[in-house]
Amino acid sequence: MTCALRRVLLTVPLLLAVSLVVFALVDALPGDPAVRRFDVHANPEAVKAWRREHGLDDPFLVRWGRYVTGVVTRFDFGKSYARNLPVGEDLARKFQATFELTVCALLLATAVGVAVGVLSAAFPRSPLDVAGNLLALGGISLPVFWLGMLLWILCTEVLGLAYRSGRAEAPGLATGLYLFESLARLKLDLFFEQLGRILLPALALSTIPMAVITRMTRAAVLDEIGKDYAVTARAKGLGRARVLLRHVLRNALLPITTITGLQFGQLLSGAVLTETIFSWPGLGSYVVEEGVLASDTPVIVGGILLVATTFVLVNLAVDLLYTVVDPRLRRA
Amino acid sequence: MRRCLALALALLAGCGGEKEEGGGEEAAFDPSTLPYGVPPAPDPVRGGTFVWGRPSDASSLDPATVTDGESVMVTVNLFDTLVAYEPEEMRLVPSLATSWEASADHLVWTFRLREGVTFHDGTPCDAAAVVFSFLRQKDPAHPAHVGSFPYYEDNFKALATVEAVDARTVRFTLSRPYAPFLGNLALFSAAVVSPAAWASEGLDAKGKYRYDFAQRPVGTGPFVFSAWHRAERIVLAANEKHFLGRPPVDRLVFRPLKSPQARLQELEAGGLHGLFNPDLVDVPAAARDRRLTVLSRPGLNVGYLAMNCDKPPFDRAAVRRAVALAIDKSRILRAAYNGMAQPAETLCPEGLPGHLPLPPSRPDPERARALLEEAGLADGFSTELWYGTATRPYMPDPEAVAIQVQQDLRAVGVEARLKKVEWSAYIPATQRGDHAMCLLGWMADCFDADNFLYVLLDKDNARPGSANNVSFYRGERFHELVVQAQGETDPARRVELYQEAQRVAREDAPVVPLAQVRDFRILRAGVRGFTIYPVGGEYFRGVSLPP
Amino acid sequence: MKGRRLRVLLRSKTAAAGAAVVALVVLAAAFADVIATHDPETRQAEFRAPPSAAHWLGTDENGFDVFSRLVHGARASLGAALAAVAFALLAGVPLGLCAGWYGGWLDSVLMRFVDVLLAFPSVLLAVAIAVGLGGGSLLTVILAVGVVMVPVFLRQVRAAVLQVKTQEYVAAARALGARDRRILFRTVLPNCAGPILVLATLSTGVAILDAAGLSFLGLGPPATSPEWGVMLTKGVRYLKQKEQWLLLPPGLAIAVTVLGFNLLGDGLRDAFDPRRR
Repeated sequence: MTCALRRVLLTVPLLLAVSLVVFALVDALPGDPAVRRFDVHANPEAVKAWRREHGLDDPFLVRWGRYVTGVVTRFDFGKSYARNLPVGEDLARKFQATFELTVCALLLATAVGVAVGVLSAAFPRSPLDVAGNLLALGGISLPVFWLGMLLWILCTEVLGLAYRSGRAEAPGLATGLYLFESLARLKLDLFFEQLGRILLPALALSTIPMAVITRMTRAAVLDEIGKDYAVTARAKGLGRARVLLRHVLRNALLPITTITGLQFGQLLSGAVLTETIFSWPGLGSYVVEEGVLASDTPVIVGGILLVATTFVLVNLAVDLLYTVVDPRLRRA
Repeated sequence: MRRCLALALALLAGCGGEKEEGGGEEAAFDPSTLPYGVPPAPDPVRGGTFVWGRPSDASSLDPATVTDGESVMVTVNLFDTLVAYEPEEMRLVPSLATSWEASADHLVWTFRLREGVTFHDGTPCDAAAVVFSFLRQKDPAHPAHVGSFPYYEDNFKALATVEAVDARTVRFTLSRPYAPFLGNLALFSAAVVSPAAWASEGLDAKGKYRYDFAQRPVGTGPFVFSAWHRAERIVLAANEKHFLGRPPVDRLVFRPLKSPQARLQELEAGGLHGLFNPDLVDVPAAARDRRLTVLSRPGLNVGYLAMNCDKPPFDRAAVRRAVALAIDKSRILRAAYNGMAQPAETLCPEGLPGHLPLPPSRPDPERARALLEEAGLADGFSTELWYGTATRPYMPDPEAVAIQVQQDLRAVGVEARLKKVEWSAYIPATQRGDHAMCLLGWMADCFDADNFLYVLLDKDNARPGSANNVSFYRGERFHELVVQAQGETDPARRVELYQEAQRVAREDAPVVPLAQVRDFRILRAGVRGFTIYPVGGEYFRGVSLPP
Repeated sequence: MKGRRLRVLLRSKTAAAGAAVVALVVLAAAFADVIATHDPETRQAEFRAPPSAAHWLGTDENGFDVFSRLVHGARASLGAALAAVAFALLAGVPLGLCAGWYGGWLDSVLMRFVDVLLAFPSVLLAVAIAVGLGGGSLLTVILAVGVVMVPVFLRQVRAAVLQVKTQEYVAAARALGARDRRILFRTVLPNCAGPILVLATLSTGVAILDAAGLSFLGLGPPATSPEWGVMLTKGVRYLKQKEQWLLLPPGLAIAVTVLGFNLLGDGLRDAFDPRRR
């Protein structure tokens, strides 16, 4: 248990370091934000006041310290330069959108990846295996944003389906997790509408992790199949499927879980690139469109920090999950 | 690689072949056949919620401080002005004022206000309210003077005093005769606001009202402010007691959708009833779609290439004229405007009184080279061309324009390095005069040539740091003509003066006007009572939903 | 030992296919000036023209010849990816060697540094670095992608060193009195070369994807420069138009090139680790 506790405690300095890196990098953005923002009708007093309001005249470490304190105590990520509105509110909303998208993509990637991987390992060198291998190899070679655009064209032009981008309106829901909440509240018409909208971006996003999980599952299962206990079980007369599913798979679960957890980072990266294509109002399109393309520092810092923090926490959760799944690691 | 290339070519051949027919149709599409608007139904459908889609959310709802179109299109439905434009012929008609008269010297203007008009909070709209609305913009010490008032400074400099003669009469006194004055009273920034609302929460330590008017506006307009969910929607409710009658719809909702493709999809699927600023490449297909109505009108805007006359070699007229001769406008219109714009030959757009009709210019690279040689620049020169990242109605694709201009200039020996500047930094940078050449444009604020020629080319507006005259052109003759036209009250004479000024500007060539873009709006078929206003905003007072 | 590995490699069909693709792309990049039919940054007569005899892949929305841009794009995209990997090698390998060999506080510090950088999803970190560097050029992309890959290289080299450190020949060398640096470069490094080579090959593929991603977002070279990611930037606007087909050439080029590097990397990995299937 102490191992787990140490891991959790080490996360704190890690997150602080992460915030320092993000803050420093984005702060290095060339140009003076005050000069950028003001036009014709601003007098020097207004410019100075604006700089004071956003605390731009203080030394770097002071600004960083103030920022971090604000984030941790009040969820205050500052105000966007462009619209002078609190960034935190936007982040909360957009985070939920990206969260839903990545979870759906991960579920899709895991379900299909594990299934195909197990089947590939069960029938090695069969046409299914070869096809699966090729597809997986192709999957990790495609640029995810290009794939997104192709899928969009495939869906709307080739299949002729009417696709509405972005999230559907969800009146009457309390949280920003439209998909999950509508399912929980059994508002099925709302649920299916949300599902229809999320399917295409989730599919685009899931392809790379799906390919990786397929390959890893196949490799892990093949590894296990060759081990003594599996061979013994087969020799004892147990059916192939039974050996595969009840014994081999359970042991292969560890590396599969590792890979799946790692793919979360891949999904977050992919979200940055694909959300804009599908007009999905998540953190990715927020950082890109309202942050980077508008040189709006608080938005960029807040967005990247939130995504990185999520990634760190997910990795922590996966690590802790390890200690549950594999008791040998508990004492490490 | 070769295998894949062959495969790709096969795919391309397939795609190319199919779509070519569509391309042929597109070339024949003529936007000038589209109507300006749909007239109101004789017996309109009452009730319902009308949803309007636009690129971004408003920044504020205080009519006097806003400058962005996204905010203006909301405020014009919440507030009224003393006079207004009717959209067909852009004549000024009474709105909050029922009649007016000017003194013989055109310095004193007296307005009689409409009886029985109340604000959304129930307080009467009287002369005191009108005076309040103007004084708060003029006087920095006024308790409701919160923020900056760019439109006041640009358009009401000549206003000396404004006072309430009695409860129904307001008197404006100008410091000099100013012809655009009456038209400027129709500006969205000249809206009448509720003094009672401003005062309702008392004063703060600095002597300013605490009430956040920008978030909770109160006016006299056909719609009442209901709610504002940031970045999601702004909801307005019909004003039962508006002096022109209750609008047909119950609620008006503004939805921001960043990508034009997403807006169009929502419209097609029924999530919106109308949208603003479609992507020009989508217009021809939308015009053929039976579920939609596409409206179009020549826009009062102009996109242009400016040369900074303060920076050599653009300080010489010969060099500027050479650049003008090098530019191939028809190519730019095809590449960057998808054929939805007409070439502009002068900065005052067609449709405004005072516009100078000129024959379309043809590019003449030979003459351009000759002019450069005469100027001692036979080997050409290198410079920088700046452009902003935002898509604007007058220039939906600045990058495409910049690339074409770069190619045109290269053909005459001028090497222009392209520099992309993020929009919010672009405006201040060009106003400071940091650029050598830049791409910019202007959309009409009011129906007056002064709004283009004075603002964009006059030496008064060439002060580095706050210049709208980004070419920093300081022609004396031009200045004389334009200032004279400002004070000239005879409309015919004004037109002559402006036309002469445009001839002078063409000779001096500080800018190369490029395009005048058509305005487009798309509605769901069956929506009635909407017209494109060439100036100002989107007016939903008469709009009704499909049956 | 080397001979055996080489023989495995030469017999591997995946490695052969990968090497062929990579060779083709490298040739295209090297001889771009010769292969391309037109200047990739000079406007042609027609906009958005479909493929024809004069323009093998047609022209794009600005009037540039697509085929020429594709071929020159190989130079930019591949060049940037290789430069980024070179940067990661030059930074990551020495640091990894030191961390693994010397251990102690140096190792701890370096591993913490690696942890922080790996706490970011790769594209996000690349975006942050590109923003800090100011964006707008191929150099920014190279540096951003390169820095993101350094921790991966560092960790891999360190792990390889830790493994080799325990081998007998290292103990022997030490017993003979050889200096640390000599051992590192003469004995340890060559034995780590295999995994490093595999990583470098596979990373080139990743670098191409990341670089294209950054360019796609607008943080890379300007719109006129021929680069595969830049060529896809305007794609979103034309999804419903007849210019859709413009999406295919650059996307396929990226996919095929990355596939080549992945195949080659897989083949190399199999050669250096025959236990894997």
